[in-house]
Amino acid sequence: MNLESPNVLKMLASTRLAEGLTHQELQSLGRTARFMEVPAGHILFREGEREDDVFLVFTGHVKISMKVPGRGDVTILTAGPGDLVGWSGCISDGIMTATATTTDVGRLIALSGKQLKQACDEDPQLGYVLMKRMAQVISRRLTSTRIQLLDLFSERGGTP
Amino acid sequence: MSVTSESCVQNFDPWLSHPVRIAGITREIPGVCTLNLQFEDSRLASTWSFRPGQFTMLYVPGAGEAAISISGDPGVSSVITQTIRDAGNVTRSITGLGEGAVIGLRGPFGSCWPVEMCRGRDVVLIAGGIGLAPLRPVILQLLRQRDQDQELTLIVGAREPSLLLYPDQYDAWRRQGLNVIQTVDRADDSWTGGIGVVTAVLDRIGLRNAAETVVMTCGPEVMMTYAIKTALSRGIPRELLFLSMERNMNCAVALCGHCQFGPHFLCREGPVFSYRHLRPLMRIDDL
Ligand SMILES: Cc1cc2nc3c(=O)[nH]c(=O)nc-3n(C[C@H](O)[C@H](O)[C@H](O)COP(=O)(O)OP(=O)(O)OC[C@H]3O[C@@H](n4cnc5c(N)ncnc54)[C@H](O)[C@@H]3O)c2cc1C
Repeated sequence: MNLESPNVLKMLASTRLAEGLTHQELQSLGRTARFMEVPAGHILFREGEREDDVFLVFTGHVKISMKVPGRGDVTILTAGPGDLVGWSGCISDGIMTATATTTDVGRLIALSGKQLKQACDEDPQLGYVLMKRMAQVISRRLTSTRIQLLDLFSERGGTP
Repeated sequence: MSVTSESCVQNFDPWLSHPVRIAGITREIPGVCTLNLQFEDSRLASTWSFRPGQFTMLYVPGAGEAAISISGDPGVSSVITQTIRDAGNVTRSITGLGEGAVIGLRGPFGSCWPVEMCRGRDVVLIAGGIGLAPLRPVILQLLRQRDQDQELTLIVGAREPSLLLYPDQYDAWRRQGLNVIQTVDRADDSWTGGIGVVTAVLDRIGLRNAAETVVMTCGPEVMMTYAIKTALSRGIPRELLFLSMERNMNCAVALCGHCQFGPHFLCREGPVFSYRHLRPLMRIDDL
């Protein structure tokens, strides 16, 4: 399905990524997007491979895993509705640092990283807002990782 | 000024330790067990009651006393249910006892979760590790008083799946209308729940009306701090955020100062606090 269908725009408009965008900005974002419905076990991207798309999860869950020698694939995070995964496609060289696999039927919007970058270059105001939103997503992910590193539930972690 | 939404007035001798018999023991997860206690004095059994969030002081002769939250159903008065983690001298003595052993109990003490405030509002409970124990009475009470339109969510986190507390009860709670979301720090491929911290779940769950959603949290202080920060960023007002501060305490009657947190005695004014009152001490805004 093409993203310019009003439904996809409506879906996009309900996300935090698009919060506060003007109608025109939303249209520009919409032109980079396409709707996907995928089964459980679908691999959105693989660690070490190049991927252009950034994914917004609407329903279902996506496990993010990394290969660890001797341990195989280790899931480090489960993303769910409202989460953005695969930002490397938009903000770095597009080489994915982890593998993303759906764990149940997923409804997602894929944003083309290349087109998104182009839209941001052409409209710096839109670019600023979107990059700020992505920075917020990354900052929240960093905080979560830090909390996970603290191992709060260990014996010394401070449970009551 | 009371720092909680619902005060729990005590009208008993706070120093009097009553003998209670261990009527049942459930081994929950390594180092944690749940005791069902029964008063030796049957008159007490019929009059004693508690409100969700309150705790007792359990006393083992020769070992000492420890504050332990009540984790059972407030609607059941015949037994007092308490979940205990073996953390040191007193708690190890308690968890090492068998059925039939008699220990001392003072209480109930402390403030309560704002159960009445939840009527007509959606509720999100966030529990980490054994922090689910003090929240279980509120879960049971909320499920009992739930109206059809009310959304109740429990986000429960643990280090790994085998360390989730009360997992055999989640399905029953789900059937009664509680949306239980489990998340762990690490797990193997057989795990079908989430991986990640409770705050990441709170960050993305759908909230129908954040301004009218009550949040209650109990777990490690760092977890609660970030849970509150996340709740605020989702638009939940300060006065609807509640946390249980279960710091080390001694006398339970605001005398010894062991549990003092700024101007507050956690044993008298807590353990359940409204974030609005603890905010100056928690410095969340500076994080
Ligand atoms: C209001 C309240 C409710 C509580 N509810 C429960 C409960 O439901 N179940 C439960 O297992 N525990 C609960 N606790 C914690 C429990 O009281 C302590 O773990 C216990 O007092 C430790 O005593 P101990 O002699 O076994 O250990 P100690 O030998 O005194 O201490 C062992 C270690 O635990 C640390 N410690 C002691 N108390 C605490 C605390 N409150 N928080 C974090 N670390 C502590 C000590 O600093 C020390 O490192 C609660 C505490 C409070 C204040």
